[in-house]
Amino acid sequence: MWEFFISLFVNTLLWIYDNIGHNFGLAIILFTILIRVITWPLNASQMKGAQGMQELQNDKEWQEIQKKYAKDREKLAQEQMRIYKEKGINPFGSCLPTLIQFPIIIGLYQSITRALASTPLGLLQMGRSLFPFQSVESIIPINSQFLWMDLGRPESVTVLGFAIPTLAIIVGVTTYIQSKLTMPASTNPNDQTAAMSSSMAITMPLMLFWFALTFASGLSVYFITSNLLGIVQYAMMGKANWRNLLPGGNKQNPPARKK
Amino acid sequence: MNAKRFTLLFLALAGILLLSACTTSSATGSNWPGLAADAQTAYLSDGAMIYAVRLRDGAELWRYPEKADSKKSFYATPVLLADGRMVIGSAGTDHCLYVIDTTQVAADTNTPDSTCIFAGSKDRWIASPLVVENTVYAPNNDGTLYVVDLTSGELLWSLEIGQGGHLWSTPTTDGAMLYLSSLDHNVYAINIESRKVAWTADLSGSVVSTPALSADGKTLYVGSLASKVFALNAADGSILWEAKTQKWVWGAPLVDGDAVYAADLDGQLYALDAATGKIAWNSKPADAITGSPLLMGDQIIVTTESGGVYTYDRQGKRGWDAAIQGKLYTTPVQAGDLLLVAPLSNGAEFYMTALDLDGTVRWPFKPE
Repeated sequence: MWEFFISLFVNTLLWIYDNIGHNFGLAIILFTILIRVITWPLNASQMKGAQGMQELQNDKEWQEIQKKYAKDREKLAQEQMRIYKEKGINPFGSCLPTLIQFPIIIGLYQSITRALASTPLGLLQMGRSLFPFQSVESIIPINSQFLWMDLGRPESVTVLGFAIPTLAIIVGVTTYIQSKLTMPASTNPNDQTAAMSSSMAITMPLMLFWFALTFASGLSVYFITSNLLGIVQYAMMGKANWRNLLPGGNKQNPPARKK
Repeated sequence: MNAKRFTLLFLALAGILLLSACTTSSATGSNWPGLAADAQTAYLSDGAMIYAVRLRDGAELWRYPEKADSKKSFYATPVLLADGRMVIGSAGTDHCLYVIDTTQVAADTNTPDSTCIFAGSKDRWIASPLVVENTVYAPNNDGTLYVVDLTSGELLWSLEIGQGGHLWSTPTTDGAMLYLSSLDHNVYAINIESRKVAWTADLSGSVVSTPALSADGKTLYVGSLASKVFALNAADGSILWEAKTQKWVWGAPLVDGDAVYAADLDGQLYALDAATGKIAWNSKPADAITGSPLLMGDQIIVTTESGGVYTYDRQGKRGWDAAIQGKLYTTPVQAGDLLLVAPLSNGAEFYMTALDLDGTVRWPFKPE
């Protein structure tokens, strides 16, 4: 199953590559757009779920049951489920897209390294992953150069003798911006959702920065494209909280927007 | 909420671990081992280590480096010089071309002396270099042929081949010309004196193996990923004939008098007429064959991906066969009266096996 998943990714990437003038970087960007389009409903559901959970934190009834059943966890859980049901909120709705991101990232990473086939064994495996419609003779060798990068290797630019991981920095910054833009504003000091979002806004950029620093730069191209598309999607849905980019910006609710 | 946070962090860590598991293949890639032998010793380059193994009994004599170094990785076939030195390029991030003196092994570390004579390439060394007297002709994955002085390590000259396509195979030479294949679908003839490309032959598919030169030096035989074997005029690169195969031809063809033997990933062994390319016979012993056929006495030997060792006579009649645990991609090597095979070490019980000429296992080798 996983092998088929990887083969599908490899073939899609290489099909795009073969049809846009053998530019692997552009192929990754277009592939990312494709993934974003396919997962658009899931991402929209995540945003809706996160928004619902956030609003719940400020809901009086919700706050009351937290106090009332603070010592009875079973009853609290029952009451929480009742409110979820009444308000039509799926408590796992905001988690699912995150869950889906991981296999995509891992699959994409494996697909990039397999497609770029940096060794004879890699080329042998890549050749066997190709579907019959692919023009093997035309595809191989894969051009792994994109702008200043070798997409099969971690990237850095040497300035005054120092290797600066520019792509990893951009990955970290765009992930941070995306996380902050989607972080719900909160007036409730005990709001655990906001606290978790705040924590993730730091953890995720650091984690993806480390990924970008360590792994093939093709993965960084995916991260950056995906982050930028995410920001655009949030903005299009009117969910982007631009105030969060300013210091102390998440203390107030953003201006009312279409929900 | 704590549970949710824990779940997300757990998933993040799981993602890191899963990606980390692939770090090695990202940085340096993994590959099948390189194998060579002289009269006394077999040498196996298997990623982090190069092992020297005594032919008599399969005992490990030394290993290089003393401890695994994340920057060093060795998969190319070691090039053995008459004076006991070995030349091998690293497929790691150090980009070093090493000269290892197998006659100078430190008693305390049990590691031979080594020198990185050249580290000026932009990429890794997948191919073995060709060493002629004191000159090293080293094709690099960056698409450049580097010509280096063996003693001083000085870069004598270099030549970017074609559009910089990856170079994964050792050049062959007739003394005046170097013949070099590239993943960019071409075979190049390079005039050693003028240091310029004399001709280029487009074989319509990547070429990952060394061109085989006929005994008279007039014809080159090359297999390509276009699923064909080609005969080229060594003087001008014109195609004399081409023979279709079932799948990719990975290993270099074997030239034996009037016959040329080549194998493909379908597992077919072809005996071709060297003059016309006409198929004299073909046989499929098992599955994919990536190594070159080996002529050992009167036997033609091929190894297959599923670990089979098969022998044929020149008329195509099957002889003995043997089964080795592991995947055999590396071209087998003859060492005196032994046949050496080295499976992909990942998943194999033994890293190398020595067989007698009737297929009986003499010894298997596994690092201690």
